Amino acid sequence: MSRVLNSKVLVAVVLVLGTIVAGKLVAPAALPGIQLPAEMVPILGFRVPNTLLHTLLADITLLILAFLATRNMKEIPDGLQNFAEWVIEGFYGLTEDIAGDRARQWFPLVMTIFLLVLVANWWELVPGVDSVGVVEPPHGETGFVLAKVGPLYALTAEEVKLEYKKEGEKAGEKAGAEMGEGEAKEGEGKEGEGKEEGFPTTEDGRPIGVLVPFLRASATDLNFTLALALISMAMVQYYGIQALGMGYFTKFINLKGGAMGFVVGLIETISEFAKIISFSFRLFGNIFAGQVLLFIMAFLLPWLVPVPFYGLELFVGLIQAFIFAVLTLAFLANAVVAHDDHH
Amino acid sequence: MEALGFNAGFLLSQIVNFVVLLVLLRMFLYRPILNMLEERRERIRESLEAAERARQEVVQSQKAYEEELAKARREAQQIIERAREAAERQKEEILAEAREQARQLIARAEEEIAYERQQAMAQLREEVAQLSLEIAQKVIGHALSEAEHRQLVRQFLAEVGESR
Amino acid sequence: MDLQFLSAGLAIGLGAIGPGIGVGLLVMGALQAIGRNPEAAPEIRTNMILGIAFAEAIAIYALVVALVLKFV
Repeated sequence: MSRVLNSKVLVAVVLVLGTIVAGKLVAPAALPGIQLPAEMVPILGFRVPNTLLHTLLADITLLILAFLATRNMKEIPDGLQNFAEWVIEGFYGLTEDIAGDRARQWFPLVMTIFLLVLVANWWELVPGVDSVGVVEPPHGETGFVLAKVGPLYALTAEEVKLEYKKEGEKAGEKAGAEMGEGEAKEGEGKEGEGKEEGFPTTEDGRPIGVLVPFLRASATDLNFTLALALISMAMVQYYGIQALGMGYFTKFINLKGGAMGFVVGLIETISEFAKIISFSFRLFGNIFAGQVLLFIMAFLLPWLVPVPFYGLELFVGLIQAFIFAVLTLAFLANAVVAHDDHH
Repeated sequence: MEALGFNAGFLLSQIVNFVVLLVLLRMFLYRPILNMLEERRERIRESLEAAERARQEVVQSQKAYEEELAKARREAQQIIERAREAAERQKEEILAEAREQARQLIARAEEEIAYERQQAMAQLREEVAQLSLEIAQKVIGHALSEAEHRQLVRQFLAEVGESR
Repeated sequence: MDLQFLSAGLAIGLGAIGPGIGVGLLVMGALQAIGRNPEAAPEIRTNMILGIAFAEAIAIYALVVALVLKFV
């Protein structure tokens, strides 16, 4: 019995290891260049940051879901309406727990932050994001050897330095992508007419290029996270002033409490800005790190091994969306309470 | 800042994007769904209240019914009681009457019997006197005088009456 | 160049120690509280996540420093 079991386990282990090794041998993946600023994708003659495109994708997803959920409202809900009601009712309950009477006022802001961040984070995990895009001549010092797949190009895992190849001859049209799609071609002509520069080649004539993905997780762009953080903290200040009038500012400029009080007020002021930074960098850091983690896992062992990390990122994406929303809520609730009773 | 990817234009576009999304979602998602939830809550509250009212009504009518029933039972009890009393009284009356009649009957019968006996006694006395006269005539062979006979019989009868 | 990478690595590596301990303590406390009082679990969990977010902010400052060192 145990022998059978052992042999089964052994077979499973061998299969898994074999798959992992085979993946490394058969389908080695390129490690994309990791950079902080969003890549600029050529769309309709404009260069648009791919993180902005990703945000728009998340917007459209949300709006379609919202449309489908509320298109045919029924007293007894089913399907998507039921799901939407579950999400919204649950989050509304949480908002009420923290915000009390102001739940109705703050709910749209908080819920939108949660939904947008969540959907944007989860879109990152869909295959094609970060991996389908326009192939361009290398911008920096390194590029990848390109392989032609039908009408499209795919990056191979072969990375080359090309300082000495800067003035390589033109290498056909650009376009294509890893596991490319028809839409990858869209950018080709328009981009080509603008610049007319070609691809450098290796010594044996193969083109070298880099991939500019159409989509990249919104939260890996500091502009996105900073935008949310600014909106969130601006609303905190707005509701604070609305609730307490000019008294709100005594939190920051405290002349009554002597030197100690003044320093405390100063610290409050600084922490208000620190909140913006930690808001934006928390989300950015988590999602960017997750993205890099997935890149590196796919680069090291492309088959099977990245799967658990996808699960982890699913969780991180949810938690970060939740934290962003609930922290906003907590700061809002904190701002409308008079601070005189402290100390 | 540039190297970290900050860009005022992109930042602004993200802010605008968020605000637009907020407005749209508020219009097309939160409002209808929150309204629906509110409506449903209201309806559930209403139907619960209606159910409570109906329950109260049922309880009330149940109580009224029971009261009615108890009253009816009480009345029936009273009627039965009254009927029983009447019957009892009637029985007493009938019995008394019957007893009276019986007593009268018995009295009349006794009177009649006494009268009959009287009659019979007188007749018997007459006959015995006659008979004993005849017997004495036969035995003695000659007739005593009427007066003697009578004297004798009377004497005898007196003796008989004394011994009786 | 090399020192830059080293310093970035050290910045995030050392900067993550404190928040790591902090998050551990937070979760420990929250789990004990849930163990003692399971009815309050949802509330405790929400507050735990908020607390973790604050502790994590420290690691995020380290991350910012590391990113600035590497890319700027």
